Amino acid sequence: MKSTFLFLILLGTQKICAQDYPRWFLFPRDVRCVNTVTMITQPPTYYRDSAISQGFRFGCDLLARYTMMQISGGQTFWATEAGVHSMGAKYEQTYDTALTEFYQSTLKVLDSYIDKQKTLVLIGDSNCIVHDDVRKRIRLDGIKQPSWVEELPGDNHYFYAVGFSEEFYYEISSWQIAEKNAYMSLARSLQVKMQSMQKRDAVEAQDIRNEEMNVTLTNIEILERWKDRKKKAFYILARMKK
Amino acid sequence: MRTYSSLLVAAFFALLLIGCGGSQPLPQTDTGDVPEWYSNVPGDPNYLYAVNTSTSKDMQLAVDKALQAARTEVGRQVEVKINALQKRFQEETGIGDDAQLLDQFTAASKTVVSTSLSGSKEKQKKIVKDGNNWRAYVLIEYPLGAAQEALREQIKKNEQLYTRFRASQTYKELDDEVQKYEDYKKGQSGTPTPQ
Repeated sequence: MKSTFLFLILLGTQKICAQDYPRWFLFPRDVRCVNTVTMITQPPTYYRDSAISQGFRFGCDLLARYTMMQISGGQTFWATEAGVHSMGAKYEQTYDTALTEFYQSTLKVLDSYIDKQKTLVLIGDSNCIVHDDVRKRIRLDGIKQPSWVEELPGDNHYFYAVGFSEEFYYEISSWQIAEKNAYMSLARSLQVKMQSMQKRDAVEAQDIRNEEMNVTLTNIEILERWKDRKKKAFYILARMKK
Repeated sequence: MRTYSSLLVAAFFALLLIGCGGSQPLPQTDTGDVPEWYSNVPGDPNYLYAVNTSTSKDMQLAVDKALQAARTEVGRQVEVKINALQKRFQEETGIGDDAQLLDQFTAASKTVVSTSLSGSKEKQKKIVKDGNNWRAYVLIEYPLGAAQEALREQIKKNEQLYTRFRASQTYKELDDEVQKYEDYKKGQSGTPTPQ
């Protein structure tokens, strides 16, 4: 009985601790350095250093995309009386991989965090100073829903976008999908071509909607991250200079 | 032993009662979650607004459907505005008699409508659970000045059209509206807009 009770306490403690994040992950804008990026990857299977190295490589690749990335493609929906159906989507991302190698040779790991579910890596220039309050661990429970989750900031100097994801089995998948949705949303804000054809007769109405885009995103910044534990949804705020 | 048997019997009857409890109620939509801005769409003469709501089992798909439908609605509103401008140009300049010029202007209008959604903003967004699905409510905001500016540029690109229109009252009003929009942008960015 005692061992069962202790086991349950240990399990609960692990679950609670897994909700701690370094401040620089939830609030990347507090780092206040150029050419920084936060990367989330899977937890180490054996060697801790390998996980951090992998996170560094992936992070440099991500920073290369955020520096300049072309997104082209589109998606189509068919709306009928029975509902709205996806007819398919195809997008391509093009970026300069030479930038990845450049960042790998010039940047370094500024801080890292590992737990049972994820490895977080903060990558930046060697001149970047990360203060102790930014390295601090904070609990998601203590953060209320930010205003940007439902309403974008009104700043006219930047394009803002919120990307979000539902909860998947692996937490890193949720954060990565939310981040991808954030920059796709930025791309749509920049420019999107809309085409629509409506057909109506005595019995039914149909609407085919197509969107296409071919835009180049530059210097994307991830500003904040938040998780709604009640709805089990992940949110990320991103921006790009106009 | 007797206590243990009594506990077992009690547990058995408890399980029986739970099994006879009937089917679970259907999941309910929380209608209180409909946002205020969805029911009362904002009105601003400088912007076009469109709202939409969509559902899907996948959260992102729900939002994509809603956003695309809202942007399509904005596109239709732009088309209505441009068509109204086109009619005014026709009436004022009489290009209805000149089929070639009319075609050129129609082509200019259509180009504007299909490509002018640059700077459309997802002003408000809300995601809620609707039974087993996700429901997304979205509000898209699009500056009307951007569409007017795009139309003016299309007209200027065509020398024949520009020559015919620039003296008209409709063109002067269009030019004034675009100038207001450019002044507004200049005021927001703090940098002079290039001429």
